[in-house]
Amino acid sequence: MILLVGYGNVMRCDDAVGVFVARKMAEAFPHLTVKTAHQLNLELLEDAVSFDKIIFVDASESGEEVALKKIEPVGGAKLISSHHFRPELFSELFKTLYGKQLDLYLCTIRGDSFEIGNILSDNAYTRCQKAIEMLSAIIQQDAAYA
Amino acid sequence: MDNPSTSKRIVISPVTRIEGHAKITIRLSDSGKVEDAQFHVNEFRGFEKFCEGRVYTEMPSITPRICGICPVSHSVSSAKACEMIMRVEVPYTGTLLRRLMHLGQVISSHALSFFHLSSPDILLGWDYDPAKRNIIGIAEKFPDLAVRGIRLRKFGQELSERLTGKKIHTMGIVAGGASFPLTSENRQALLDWIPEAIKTTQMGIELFKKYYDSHREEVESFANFETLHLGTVGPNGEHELYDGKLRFVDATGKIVADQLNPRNYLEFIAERPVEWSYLKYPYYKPYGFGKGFYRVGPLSRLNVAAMMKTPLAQKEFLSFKALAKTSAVNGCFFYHYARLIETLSAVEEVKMILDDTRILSSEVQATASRNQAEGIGCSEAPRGTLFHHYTTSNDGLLTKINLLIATGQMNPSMNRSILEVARQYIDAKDIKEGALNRVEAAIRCFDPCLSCSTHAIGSMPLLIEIEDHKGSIINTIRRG
Repeated sequence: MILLVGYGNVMRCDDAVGVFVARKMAEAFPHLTVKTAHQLNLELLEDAVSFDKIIFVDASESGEEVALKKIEPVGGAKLISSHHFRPELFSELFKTLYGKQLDLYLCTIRGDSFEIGNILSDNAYTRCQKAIEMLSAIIQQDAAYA
Repeated sequence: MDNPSTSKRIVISPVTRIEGHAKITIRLSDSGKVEDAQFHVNEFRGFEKFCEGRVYTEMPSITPRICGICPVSHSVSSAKACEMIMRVEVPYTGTLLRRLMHLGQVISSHALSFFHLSSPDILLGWDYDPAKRNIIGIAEKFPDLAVRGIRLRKFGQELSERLTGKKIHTMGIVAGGASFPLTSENRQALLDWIPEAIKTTQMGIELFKKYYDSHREEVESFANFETLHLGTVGPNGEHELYDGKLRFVDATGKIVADQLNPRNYLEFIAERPVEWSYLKYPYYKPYGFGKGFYRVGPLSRLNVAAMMKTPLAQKEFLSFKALAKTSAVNGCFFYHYARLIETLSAVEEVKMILDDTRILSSEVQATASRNQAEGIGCSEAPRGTLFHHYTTSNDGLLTKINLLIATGQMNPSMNRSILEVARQYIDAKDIKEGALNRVEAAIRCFDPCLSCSTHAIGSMPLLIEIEDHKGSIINTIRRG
């Protein structure tokens, strides 16, 4: 069972790529559990308990256009505020609180514009299509979904 | 007025475990005493400009994007402003549903503030290893409490999810009422959460009381200073979060002004900019700048209230009131206690609303078109009183927007708090990390949301700089 969570601020242009991709994935895979959020939040820890694999989709400011990496728990990660809750801390907290390690992945999609606005840039839109293709392949390979 | 040439400065940036990003500067005299302290917010909020030219009815769905912590309050205040423009009355069930969502947000926001951002100071200690003096430390040493805190927050979010299908940035509140009726299944699912939510909140209250009993002097003296207090009350002075009239009390608890219509807020609240921050200094107009500084939020709401609306919260409220020699509690550490009492009240009120059979009615929204140019909406956000003020053109496009945010109204008091705490704990000859954490904790008492007040993004490690009288940095302390 896979949980896919797309997060970002939909009023900050390309920061919304995670939410955009999540919505598209929900349309394409009606039985996939998909959540969207403004930001990563603590209560998702409770949701994560019921799933074998978690995929977060978020915007990045730099790096590869589209990337997927496995997230490992990192000791010393901090919660400065709930607005800055990172996947590494999510993984660390899950391990500490529930005694098992999450199979957690972060898909990042590079954005070009993070100004106030509700339209994706052309480049970000194209990268979202690539991310959707990549994530769709993962979902189709998942035994539970198949 | 100090002489900058003979002063030293300590800078704390960013202030951690609050919502957003800011820094603190503490200025020392050449003799090493704290002379002044300033809370800087250096980010700019553009929502008022960004929304000009949009259709006013879009605002209840746009403004929740200001913040992921208190989107419902923005939505409620916004919808109320729109309803004033439309001159429309929300159906009874629509109001109940909106109250539920609003209470849910108060529960989740307060749970986050206490159990995950502030409890590390109480449970682990001010001088505990900064690397673990956070939610990780709580998770390691108090896993049951950490999970309970997460589940209490989830309950609050569940109220929005069960009513709207979305957790954050609720779209279920619209001008004229609510978008969706509540189903029997969702109503029962929410009722099933109530006993656990009450138990967790009571555990938080016990935790606070235990700390208070063992640190009485510190708690009572922590950022204890006199200001006015502002909050919403019902017709009999009862504690109210969703709708009501405004009441100001002074530092002794004496009512200064009562049953003020929030729609007239410009008659009694004014703002003045300060040069070191993008947050203005609001004040109670009749008393003027300085004497008219006031606080908002949980502590102030309990200070202005004559009673709570629910039995368990009322019992705690009496204990809260007994803390004060007069009838107002001015110590900022009691914000945490007030926050927990409000949480208890909110959970109880959720049950009261869900027990009302009319909650299942499908009559949840009234419709109308624009009937006047101007609208003002007000509600109590978790952090304090929130005003939305819109002016529209004949075709319903927004020509002017003013958002008076709770965090902005706390600005003078946050500055005063860090000054008080810095004076009490900072020793220029030996600046300890725990002392600086106390200064940050003074800000955390208010649980400010700088994302709300500035729409901030970004973060930095904590940096403390000490400058000599020539402006040269003589010491730097970094964490994070």
